Amino acid sequence: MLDILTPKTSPAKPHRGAWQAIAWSQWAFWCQVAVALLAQRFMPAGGLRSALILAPLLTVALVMGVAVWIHQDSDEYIRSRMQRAAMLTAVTMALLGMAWCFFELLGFPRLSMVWPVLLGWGLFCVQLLPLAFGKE
Amino acid sequence: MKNIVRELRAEYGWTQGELANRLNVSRQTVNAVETERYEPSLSLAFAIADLFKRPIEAIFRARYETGAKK
Repeated sequence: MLDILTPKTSPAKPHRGAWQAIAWSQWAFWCQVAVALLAQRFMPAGGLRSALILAPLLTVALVMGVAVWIHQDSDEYIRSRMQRAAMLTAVTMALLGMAWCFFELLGFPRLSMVWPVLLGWGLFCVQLLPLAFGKE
Repeated sequence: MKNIVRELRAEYGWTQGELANRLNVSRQTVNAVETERYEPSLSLAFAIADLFKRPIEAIFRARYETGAKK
């Protein structure tokens, strides 16, 4: 029989492990963000302080890797939802970045860029939570 | 696009999860297709047609064919 005529669907639904990996990588990321903020506030200048402040970049790479894994492991609908969530997050962060800039030009106190980043992560996660917990 | 996936699934007595397993997709995908929030790819549409042993055009209809507004 011609196998080429057999319908092929997208990859199967994501493994449970993939969703756990998202949760663990997010946990690691938020812990490192907390440590970085504490180090920035309380530690004296030096190599260790710089390392601790830069450490969240490593977990961001981990989170990105897990997100790519989830994306490749998902079926077409979940992929489209992830892409939509990423698009909405990117637009929101771009607008927030611009708003931050204009507020600063208007004389408002300078705000840390960590806030749009945290808001962006939060927004992205909130959009994907119903999918992750099968509430749709 | 309109479809009769929900009716066909009920005819076969399957849950959304069972249909999802047979199609090798997530339950959310089946739900989104049934509620017409998501239009499946051609490969998934063919897989659905193959599973229910019906021609693809008997399951999926363009909205203008059904007289629906959107």
